[in-house]
Amino acid sequence: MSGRTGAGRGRTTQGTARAELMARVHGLVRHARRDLAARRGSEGLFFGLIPGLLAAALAGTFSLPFSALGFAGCAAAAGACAGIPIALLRRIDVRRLLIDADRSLGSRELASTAFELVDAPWGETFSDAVIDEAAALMTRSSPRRILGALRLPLLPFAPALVLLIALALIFPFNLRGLFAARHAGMGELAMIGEDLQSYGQRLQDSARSQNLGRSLALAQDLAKLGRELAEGSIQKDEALDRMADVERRLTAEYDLRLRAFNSGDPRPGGRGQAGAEDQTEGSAGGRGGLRDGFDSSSPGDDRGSQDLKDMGDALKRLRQGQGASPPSGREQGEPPSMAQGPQAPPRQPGSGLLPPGNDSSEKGQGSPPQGYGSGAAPDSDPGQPGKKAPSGSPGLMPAPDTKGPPSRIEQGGRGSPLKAEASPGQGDSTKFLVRALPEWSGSRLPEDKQLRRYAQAVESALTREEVPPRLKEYVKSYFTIIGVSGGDARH
Amino acid sequence: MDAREKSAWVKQSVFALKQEIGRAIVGNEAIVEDVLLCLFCGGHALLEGVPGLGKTTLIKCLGQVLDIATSRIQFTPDLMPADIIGTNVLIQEETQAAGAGVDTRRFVRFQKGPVFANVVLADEINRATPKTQSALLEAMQEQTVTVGGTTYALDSPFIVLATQNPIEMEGTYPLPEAQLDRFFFKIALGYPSAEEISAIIDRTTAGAQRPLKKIMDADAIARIKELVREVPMAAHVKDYAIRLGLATRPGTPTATELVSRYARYGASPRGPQSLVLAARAKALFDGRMNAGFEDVKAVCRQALRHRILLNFEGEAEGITPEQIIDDVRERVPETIEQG
Repeated sequence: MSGRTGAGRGRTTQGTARAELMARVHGLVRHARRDLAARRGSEGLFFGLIPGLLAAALAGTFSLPFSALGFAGCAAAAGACAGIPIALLRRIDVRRLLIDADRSLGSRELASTAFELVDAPWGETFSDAVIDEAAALMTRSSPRRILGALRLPLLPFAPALVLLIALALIFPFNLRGLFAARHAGMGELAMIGEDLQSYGQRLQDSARSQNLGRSLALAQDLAKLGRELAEGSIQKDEALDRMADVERRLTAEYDLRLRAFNSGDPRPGGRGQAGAEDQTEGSAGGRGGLRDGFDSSSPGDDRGSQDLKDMGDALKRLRQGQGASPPSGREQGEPPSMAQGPQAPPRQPGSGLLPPGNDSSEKGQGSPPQGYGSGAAPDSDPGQPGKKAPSGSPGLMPAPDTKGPPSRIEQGGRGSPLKAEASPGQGDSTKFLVRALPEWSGSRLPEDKQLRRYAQAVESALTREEVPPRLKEYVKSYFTIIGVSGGDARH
Repeated sequence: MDAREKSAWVKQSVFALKQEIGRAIVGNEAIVEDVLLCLFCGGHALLEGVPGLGKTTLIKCLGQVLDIATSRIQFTPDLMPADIIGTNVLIQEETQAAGAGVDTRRFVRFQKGPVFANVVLADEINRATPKTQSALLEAMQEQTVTVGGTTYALDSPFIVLATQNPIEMEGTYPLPEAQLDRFFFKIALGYPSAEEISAIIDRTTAGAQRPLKKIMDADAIARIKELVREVPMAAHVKDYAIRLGLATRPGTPTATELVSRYARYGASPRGPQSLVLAARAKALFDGRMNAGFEDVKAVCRQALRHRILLNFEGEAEGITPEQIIDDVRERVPETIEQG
């Protein structure tokens, strides 16, 4: 085949080699086309079964004007039939096919080179031999080995789809009913959650406006619980547990206010709720104790009690699993008042639930109760306990309490407030640390930080070759010097 | 001989050359093959490595196994161009005249320099001044030497094998880019392993060494050079070599990220030329009659490393041309979809 027995014989042999090579190439193209048709057909079958499955799934819900089984079969057949002609009409790139063939055979571009040499010989020495070798190689190798195993990646999923279609037809189900039931169940919990969130928000506003720390925390917990319930991020059981906790705290708060109100002794400037919270914490509270300023209730008392009742109702609904609209009794957007006890007489504004130690905004208002230690910040005038922090201070931070000797506490009858007697200096004392910012001097950026920025910018410029090479060392040394003595940078 | 026999003969001849050189040179089989690729492609090689790695020995061995004229030029700062290419000298001849007396005839004759050889070893080429280095330019590119308006053709084969030391910068003159580009390959020599050092010591410290045999003459070299150029290469393989060369140029659409960031200049058209020719020779050395992608990849580093110039950022970050070439080789696809 190499043409070594004479020029005429060589031409014939080489002609045979070329013909053989081209025959093998055409055979390979036919195989490739068949593989492509099988691939496209299997893909068409798979994608045709998907609408069939859809039709079978919907057959239990809607009355279809055609047979779901027939539709599935037709769709699958149409998909498979559409894929095959598309593959048959597609042009096969022979050059690309032979490059892939060389890769799969490891023949180092022998076949693709020979294919090119058939039409455009390169030199006279090796062209014929290359064609000859390529023809022999392709004769030795089966098309399946050259093209690789036929892979139909979607075909294994087709039986699964057929099975699903059969199941959907054998066991029809109504999607509408399924979605409706689920929607109803979800809607009830979500509505309760929205109610709780709404109460929590309003109570937060109220507590924040009066700087009531414990009430604010309670309201925030309530709002968070409601939000999570409305979003569906927690289950009903967990919501019930958390709601029970909120309820317990709420009840305690409610009782506290009730007792505080019943203890009387209203005082202008009001420390009533502070006294009440003292009681819950079991502190003696000094002589002022519970009697310290229970002011009168405001006209908004009914709203506050209504809020508490509403929350109780919501909890009840949550437990019972019944959805209901938010209870009436107050207009939307009207903030409730946590600071006011139920059925309490009108009070002065500024009253609160928290003791002075927890309620920073109340510091310095009125006279502090006896038995308190230094109620002022460490940097405030020690002779003026309770002096407010300077303007611009971000707030007060309580320091660890120091307990004095126990005072005598008298327990009255049922419904009567505790009475504690103590001499000055006894009882709880609370210290506060005032955190305040200095006056703004007009400087926006420290000098050393600005200097570092300059140095970084120069380093970056050095890296980007923006500084001439001969000046690089000069620039580096300049910033090294001013970096050491940063105060000279401005020179 | 038919094509297969020619191919087998080339493979056998090259193997014999490697075997004979291997008697004197321990290890470095790849380096020897690269030098032979340059020889049979008609290119010149620049060998770079620290002192003592056997650069000069390798080239001297090549001169011994080839039955062709070799010369060695030790480049020094005071070497002049005329010391390389030759010069016109004034000759005075005295002949007995027909009558009484002596006729004196003076004429100018060109005295050939060491460049008139088949294999020229330019040892430590970066020690000579640029003026002297450039004296080799015409010889390397055109294979001719012009002196005093007369052009002299050099013998074929003609190959310049230059060495340079990369660590000594004092008193050296780095080769200009134009001259670097004229080298077909830049071959980097690395340190030998412990076993190789042991073998080197055994060979050089025990007894006299047997001289190397002449394996190949100038005619055989010329025949192989012709055969190399006959090796077919598919269009897509040639296209791959071209795309590799283009990808080393910053600013082109196919340039890789590493090239765009660290390269100042990429390969000139001589780069893909070298890739294609060396890939053909490499295929023939392996006994194959066509060149493929693997052949192009195998000669990528040698053919392109001296044609990629790093920018300031690349040099500052210690990037090497080899890293860029490896990146290009990895990222440039062998084939691209047409249309």
